[in-house]
Amino acid sequence: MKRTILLLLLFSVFVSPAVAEDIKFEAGIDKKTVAIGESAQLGLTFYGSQNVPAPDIGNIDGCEVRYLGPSTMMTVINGTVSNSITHMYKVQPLRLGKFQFGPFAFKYDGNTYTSSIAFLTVTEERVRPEPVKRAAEEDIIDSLDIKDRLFLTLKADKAKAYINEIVPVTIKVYVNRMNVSDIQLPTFNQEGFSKAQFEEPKQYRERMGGLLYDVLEFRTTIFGTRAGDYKLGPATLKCNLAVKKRVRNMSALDDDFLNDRGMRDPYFEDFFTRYERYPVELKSDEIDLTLLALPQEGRPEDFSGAVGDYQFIYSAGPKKVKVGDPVTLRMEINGTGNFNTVIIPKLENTEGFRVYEPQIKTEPRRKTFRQVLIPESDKVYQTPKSVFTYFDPQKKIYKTITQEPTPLQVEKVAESPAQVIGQSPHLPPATSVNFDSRSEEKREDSQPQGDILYIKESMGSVQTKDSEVYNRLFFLLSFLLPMLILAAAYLIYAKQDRLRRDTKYAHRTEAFKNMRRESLELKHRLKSNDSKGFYETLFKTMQDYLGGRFYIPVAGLTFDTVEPVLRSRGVDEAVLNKIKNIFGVCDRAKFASINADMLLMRDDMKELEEIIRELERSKI
Amino acid sequence: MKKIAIIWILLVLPASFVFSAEDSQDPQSLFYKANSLYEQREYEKASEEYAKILAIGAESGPLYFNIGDTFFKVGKIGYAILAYKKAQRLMPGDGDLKSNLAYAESLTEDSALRAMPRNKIAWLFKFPFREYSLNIVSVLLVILYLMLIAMLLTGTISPVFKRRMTILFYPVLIGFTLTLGAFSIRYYDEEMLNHGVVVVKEAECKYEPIDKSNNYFVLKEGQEVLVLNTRNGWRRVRRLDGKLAWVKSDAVEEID
Repeated sequence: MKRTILLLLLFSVFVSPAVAEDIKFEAGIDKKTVAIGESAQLGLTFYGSQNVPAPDIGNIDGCEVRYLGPSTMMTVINGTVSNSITHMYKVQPLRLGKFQFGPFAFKYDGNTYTSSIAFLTVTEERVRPEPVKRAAEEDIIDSLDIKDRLFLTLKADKAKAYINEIVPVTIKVYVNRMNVSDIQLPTFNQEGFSKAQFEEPKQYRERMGGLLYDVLEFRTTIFGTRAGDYKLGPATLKCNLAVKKRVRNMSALDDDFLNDRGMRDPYFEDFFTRYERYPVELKSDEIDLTLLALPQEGRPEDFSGAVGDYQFIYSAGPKKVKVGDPVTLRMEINGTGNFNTVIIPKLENTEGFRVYEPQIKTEPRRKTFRQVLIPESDKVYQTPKSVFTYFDPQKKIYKTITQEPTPLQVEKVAESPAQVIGQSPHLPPATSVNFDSRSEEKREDSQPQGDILYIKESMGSVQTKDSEVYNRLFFLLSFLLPMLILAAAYLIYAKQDRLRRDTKYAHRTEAFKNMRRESLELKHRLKSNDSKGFYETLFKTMQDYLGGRFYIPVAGLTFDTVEPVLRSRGVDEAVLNKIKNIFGVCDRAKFASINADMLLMRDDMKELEEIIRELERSKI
Repeated sequence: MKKIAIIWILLVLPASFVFSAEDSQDPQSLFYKANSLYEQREYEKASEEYAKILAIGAESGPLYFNIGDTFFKVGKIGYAILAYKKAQRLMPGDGDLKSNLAYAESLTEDSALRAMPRNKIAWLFKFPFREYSLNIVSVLLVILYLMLIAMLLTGTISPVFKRRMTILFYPVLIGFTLTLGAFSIRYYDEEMLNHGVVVVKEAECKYEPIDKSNNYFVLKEGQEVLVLNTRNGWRRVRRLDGKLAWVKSDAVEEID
């Protein structure tokens, strides 16, 4: 039941709004220096969300600030999407000097974010913007001089390394005020090296040569296996560059026109421009890397090629076993270095044990070996000694870590040699059943026993076979019955609702109900052979029914008053005649005091029933 | 043959026909007795006691778990996996069971053909309920269904209540849809399909249910198959990669 409640709570969590995101807040400005009277664009960027509203940055002393609008950016790196939103502000200094923008504090979704700082220097001298070169469309990317604004770098943390030594490699994409998307993972020439997968790329801002760049950093590691001088790279990276393009039919509004009227404004720019994507392949420079051979001096005999700085953790258990029971050695190598070349530590003197293939688990900065040993006799007193050797590239020496044996207490198994792996169990002759009858095939390659978890102490919730909830009748009924109840409730509600809204329908229904009630009285009169009372009731029933059915006043209702209404509604002539007949009979009984016999009354009652049936059926 | 007999008693035969003289015995006391025999390493005797519990028509996840351990201890990996899979139907979230099953499967060959092919949509529906037995899922389904009906009923009767209920209605509807999807998929998988496990070291699979027919492929112990039908001592099986063949009946036992 607890689990069920937990599950219900989980559902409510699933449908609740998205969890808080990890948001980074930065401020940047598009120019470092402007002349008095000129403006610059301040961008407040939130990385990790596109839903953050525009922060109110208030008044900045000596500066006029106007909000221009948001700009969202989505970057896709091999299927991984990162979002950002930049709120743009036009800032126009009103005095000379150096302005500081930020740090801005902004509260969003219960968290407070603080931005970085941006500076703007205002001078007297007016800096005229260089006229934009109008290049052909094919040359548009070249004309943007993108090499300074979009480039790739490749860097190895070391210029020299030993073979098998891990060398971290960093590839960075630098972007300055350009719209880049669909960035692919970089590739680089790595001949002679093995490369690991790239880590999750990092995104941050970096100032270089006075310009602020958006940087996307990819990190990986390499290692070489043969000594020599190598060239690493060049690294290449594919992406798409979105370039602003003026709409053709706006040629009349040339740049001068827009400039002269102060209309070189992002609003107009966005309105008259559109973006086109150009695929771009960025290429970095090559770098040199020298791989050194491992020194021969001091090299241990059992060195297997592990290079790094490691620790060796060793444990064995259980320490008290019977012959044939497994003892598991757990050997963990952790630290920094190349785990590809780390192999299981050497076990010295495994005599008296049956040794199985180890289970190996590799995790970041750790490799674990689980070695199962089966003592084959009670003459075994300790686990084997374990030795791990590696080369430390920092200290440039070979190191050996030795783990001393763990004492073991191995008991002899007197009556159950069946537990010894590889032998069939010996069973007493009286045993009626046998799992491994010696007459049948023997499992020569029996599996190592042990390492399964121990039997359950409690039987748990016991159920009879084939008593599953979903196979029982009540399971089916629990679906059907509520559905029927719901359908019934809906029909009742719908009828009541119609009775409330539709007056004619309400009258008609009421008339039918009254008629059924009065027909009971008719039967009673008929039974008691009360002809006078019978025809009085018959008349009243006819009046009430026709009055209610056709929504006409009941008082003084006769055939003469009801006939035009019935005709206008298209009631069949035969029915009209029957109605006329009933009214006539009732009138005669009322005024002439005829004594009708029971048969006649029954016929009249049947005729009334036929009239009602006909009228109900015709749905007039 | 005796070996086959005890295996049939433990896992295969509808056990109510056997051990009728023991019907009056309490499953709990039989269970404790079997456990104590297991502790004394009397695995065969322990299995006989476990079999008596099944014989009186009772079953539970821990019972099949312990039977699996017993088979494992005597080296019957295929039967151990079969018992663990039976236990998995009753307590899929049990950590010990997952561990033992994974370990037992790791000792078998051809593990690549052991995992069921994954249908992504089916997996999405099943994932939130993977720790729960079909019984629990069915109870949850009924509860969510009744909640939905109750909300619709109150909404029908009282429009004011209907507006207030709207916020709760959609989460419950989503929950119900997910549960219904999971229940349907698992019901089909667990109740309508016949899963089987290879219980012999190697089972030769043939093109036809005849001894002299050519071998098509070989199934390894512990491998899971779908049993399509059984005829004259042969079972028609579908390997999890879709290949169909005939195999001797005693080489494959059904989980259900």
